[in-house]
Amino acid sequence: MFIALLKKEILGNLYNQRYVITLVLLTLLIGISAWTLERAQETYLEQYAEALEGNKAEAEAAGKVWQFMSVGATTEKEPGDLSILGRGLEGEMTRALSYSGWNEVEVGTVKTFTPLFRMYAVPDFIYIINIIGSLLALLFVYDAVCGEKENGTLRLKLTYPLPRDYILLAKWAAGVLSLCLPLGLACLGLGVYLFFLPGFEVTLDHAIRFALVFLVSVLYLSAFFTLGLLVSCLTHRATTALMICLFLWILLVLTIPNLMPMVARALKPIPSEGKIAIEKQHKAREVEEWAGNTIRAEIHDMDEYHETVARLVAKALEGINQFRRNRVQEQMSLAMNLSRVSPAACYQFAASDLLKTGIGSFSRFQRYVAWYRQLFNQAKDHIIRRARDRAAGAGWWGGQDMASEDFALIPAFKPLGVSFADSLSGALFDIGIIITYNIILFLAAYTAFLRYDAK
Amino acid sequence: MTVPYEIDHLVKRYDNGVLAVDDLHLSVQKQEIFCMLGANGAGKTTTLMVSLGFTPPSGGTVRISGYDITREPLEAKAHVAYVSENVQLYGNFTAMQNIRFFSELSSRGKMEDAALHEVLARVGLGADAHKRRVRGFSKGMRQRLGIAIAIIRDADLILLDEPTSGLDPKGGLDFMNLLQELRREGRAVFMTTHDIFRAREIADRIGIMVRGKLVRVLETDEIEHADLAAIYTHYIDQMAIQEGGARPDTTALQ
Repeated sequence: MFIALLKKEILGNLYNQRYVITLVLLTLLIGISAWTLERAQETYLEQYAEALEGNKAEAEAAGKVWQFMSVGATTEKEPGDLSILGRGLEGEMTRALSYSGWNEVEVGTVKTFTPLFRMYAVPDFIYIINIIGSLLALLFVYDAVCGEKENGTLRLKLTYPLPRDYILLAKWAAGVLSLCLPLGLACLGLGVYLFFLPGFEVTLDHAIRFALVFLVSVLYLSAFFTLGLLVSCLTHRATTALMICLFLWILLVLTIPNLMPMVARALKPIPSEGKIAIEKQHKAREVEEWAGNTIRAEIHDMDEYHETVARLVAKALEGINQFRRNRVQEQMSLAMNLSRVSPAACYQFAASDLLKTGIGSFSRFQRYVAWYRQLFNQAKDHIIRRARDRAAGAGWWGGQDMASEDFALIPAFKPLGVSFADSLSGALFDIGIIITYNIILFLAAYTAFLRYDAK
Repeated sequence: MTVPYEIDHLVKRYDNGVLAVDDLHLSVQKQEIFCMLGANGAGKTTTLMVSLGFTPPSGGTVRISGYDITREPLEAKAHVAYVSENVQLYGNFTAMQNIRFFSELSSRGKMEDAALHEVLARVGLGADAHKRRVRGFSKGMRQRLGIAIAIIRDADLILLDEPTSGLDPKGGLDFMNLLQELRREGRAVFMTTHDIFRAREIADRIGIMVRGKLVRVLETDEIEHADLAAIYTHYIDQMAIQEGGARPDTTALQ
């Protein structure tokens, strides 16, 4: 009996116009998005290579040590290989980072490849599933129970010796399987496209990540499908169910993920950049004054004195920076936890983590940037020491030419790749939440259907 | 021998206090057609809804082939088939796909396509209709398909809720012939209707229900000579006088 119900539900879905639209729309959108983003990725990679050359030339153009101190070095992160599927925070990470003698490391200006890309942002795979997939899942299921009641088939079906859980389970399983079909087709097409794409080497790591993103997408769509099923089991008119589903979609997909960061900002405010800058200026002045009054008399070599003061100032400023970083982290954690009320946010976190463009990768990149700064400073100190040695008795070291060996001392900017284990451990929590949503929503739908008045 | 349909002092009072069925007591035997007459709101459909387990009784029991619909719903449902006033099926499916699906749900199990075609032909659906989507069917065709679906359940009891309303005269006549065939096959048939003439034509017994109460049962020998319309109007008037209320709409009986 269950198989008969399942077969009928699947067949019913296949005959459903809405389903055909879902199938075509998802496949088409994912295909177009992959093609467009792959073109964009090609541009990103070309410009990354150009930027590397440019940065190197710019650094080498600094003939004098003081110029090097001023200009410093500009570094770039290579565009992520899987960002074709989900841009996530990739735009925040692939920026030019400028390191110099006295400037702090700042995330540089946003790379403006082609301004139109920003104006007409291309929806990636995650966006399509997150926004459009969830909407299609709800539109696909909203009348599964109440619609059958309205047209009388549910009543006829319930005159048969069928346990109600069979009926609901068949509807759920058939619906999820039916949704898997367009998603699976689109993913398969995408996989084949990437496999045959010149210059894109599909590795086992890619395949596993992609397969997991597919599974998470199925779980995510299933959560929305089950939510729609619950709404259908709680209403008696298809139009009412449709309105409720649309309201829930707006709330869960559009409102909560965007609202919660604002709530977190109100609950855990971060001092503004301006305030931090003023505080830093005060602190730096304070340290300089203190140094002038205390250690100035003990250190006779001016270079050594300036270096010591710079080190003390940097240490004091690092405290302010650390405070700000902690507040940012706290606010971000709060915003993430609050937005997890919505499966859409959980999906976004999990899928982007698996594609190495998520919060986990971003935090890891931030840590690398801070660590690289230390490496750079060590190299800078080394270069200055060498210049000073060369300048012994011949004026200030800053007037010295940069030696060719000096450039070799500047460390290469090579952020470590994110291992699969790290990505998975980052995504696991959100995957768990999506699974929990599925279970809770199904149990709620089941309870509602057991009490459903089919008259 | 188990009785296909037994209603024992059934009471149904809705949450809003309306007493829809008031101490209803009757049984329908094998090879018997029982027609329940009554105006709108008399409690006929409520009786069917309780009998199919869609709504719990407030008191009393309904047994189908010996199984209490409240306590053993799945066992009871295995012995009953139902045809509603306005049969609604899966519009995207063909007649064959619909009947095949419902055959797979019945306790009898999956049937061969040839047997299904035969049943469809028996209810008067031509071969060309078998492969047509039900969405394009007329009401009469849907009623025929509904009865075909009921037939393949091979149930002891067939419950029909005003099945001939809206059918053209030929459709109604064919339907009555079909019910007689089912009776000959040994099924028990319980049919609610407004249609006194068809009831007189086909029923072995006729019940009159007024405001939830079964006020009169006419046996086979009474049916032929009785003036059903007069009897029914009499009961309604009496009830209205007793309750001091308005007389129910009996235009369908005039």
